[in-house]
Amino acid sequence: MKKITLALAISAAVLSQTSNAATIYEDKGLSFKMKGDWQIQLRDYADKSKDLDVEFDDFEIKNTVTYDLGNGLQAFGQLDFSFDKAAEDGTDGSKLEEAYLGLRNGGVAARVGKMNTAGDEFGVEAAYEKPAGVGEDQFERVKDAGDDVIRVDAEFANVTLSASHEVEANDGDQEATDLFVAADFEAFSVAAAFQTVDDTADSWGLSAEFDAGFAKIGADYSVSDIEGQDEDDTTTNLVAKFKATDTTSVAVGFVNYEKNNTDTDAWYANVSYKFPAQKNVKLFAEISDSDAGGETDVLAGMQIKF
Amino acid sequence: MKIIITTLISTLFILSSTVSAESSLQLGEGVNLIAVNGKEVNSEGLFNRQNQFTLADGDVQLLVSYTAEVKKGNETELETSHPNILTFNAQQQKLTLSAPRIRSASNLEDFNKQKNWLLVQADKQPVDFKAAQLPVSGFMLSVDYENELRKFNQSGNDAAINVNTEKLTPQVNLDASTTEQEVIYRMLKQWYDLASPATQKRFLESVK
Repeated sequence: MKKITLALAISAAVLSQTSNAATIYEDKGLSFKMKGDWQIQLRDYADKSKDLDVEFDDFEIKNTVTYDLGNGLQAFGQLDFSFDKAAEDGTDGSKLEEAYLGLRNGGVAARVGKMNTAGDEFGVEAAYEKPAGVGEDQFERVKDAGDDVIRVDAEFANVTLSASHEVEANDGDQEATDLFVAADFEAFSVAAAFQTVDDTADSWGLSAEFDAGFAKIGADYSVSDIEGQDEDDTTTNLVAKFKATDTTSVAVGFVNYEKNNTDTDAWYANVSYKFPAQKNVKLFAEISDSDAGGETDVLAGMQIKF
Repeated sequence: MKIIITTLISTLFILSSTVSAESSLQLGEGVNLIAVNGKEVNSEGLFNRQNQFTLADGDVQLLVSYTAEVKKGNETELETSHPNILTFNAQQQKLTLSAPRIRSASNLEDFNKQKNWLLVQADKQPVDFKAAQLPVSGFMLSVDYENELRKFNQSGNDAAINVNTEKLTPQVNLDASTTEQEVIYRMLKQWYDLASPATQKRFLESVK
């Protein structure tokens, strides 16, 4: 008797993997995801204190529920709790950052509740912390969130449109309307935004980003016509982002901030390292300086996202 | 008879040598390799993650997902695709697996539906593959991917393969009474049993 044995090599020399466990439950059209953004940093904020401080920037937990209603229609809701203030100064409980419900059909989504306004999408700034005396852009300065917001986002091929309206409610918030449009052309993208806030300001802005391969270069310019103020306030950002290695990236930026006839220049540079095994875990360091601050600010920190 | 058996053994030896040849697989940024041919991939060190893998030639089944950084306001959020099964035939190739550009949650939703992974050879020529979503449901924190893949591979889906290890070490017993045609029949049957449903289907069409 002869015996022929044929063995096939099926094993693969595999070494590593990453996976993300943000989806907690998924069945019968229901999906429950939990996302987190936790960031802690050691900061020598010369503008406020000469002592090194531990700062809790983001300590957020986002709970997102999606229901598939059939025929491409989805219902969704999100509750976003932030604990940075509780960690920083011992305030009890969390701060509710976002709370909304909405409906999505294909690339169009409408939602109502507490959320960021459409103008918050604007901007190319890439600093971990704003340098002393400057803001990210005029939308962030005037209004970038509300708790009585109706917002619609739509995507058509390479164009993104967002519109939001905050109704004038009993809580004293002013009525505000935002529009944001962005177009993406392979290596080049442009965006424009407009915002009007009753009795406060009208703002607009333009931005452009170019991916040159070795670096991503971006610029934005935003203007606010402030109620009762003769001169417009403006913000200009110039940013360059480089990928030094697969795991390390560098960003440098310049900000010009003109507020009430006071002109402030600032710059920042930061380096970020993502662990190869988990891109969700990042170490970073940043240095920044501005005309408004007395000394150079430095910080180093860690961020975990899931 | 002896000549035939010797020829068969030689042929099988050559074939098995071919089958055990290797291909390489490079993962693009954000691609997570969860399992290869039904076996979960183990994690390793913090600082030396490799995105280059070696695959035994033949039918290969990968379980992969893709994590995209999606801009939301002034922040980015990490969004991960459904786990996808990709089945293809590798023959001493340098393969790269990546995902199309995903910048929004809506892009990711489209990717989940279309499963338009980019699997290419060194000369950028695309490699044909079958794709399917791994049908998992319930609590997702501790999914037994090997068990889910076993169930999937018995489903008859186009992306299913045969990775039953008992079947992969077949034995053909020959004795003095075994006829030549009987040996050929048993060998053909063993090879047929080893083939994936897709290969079986292709074979049946070729002999019609």
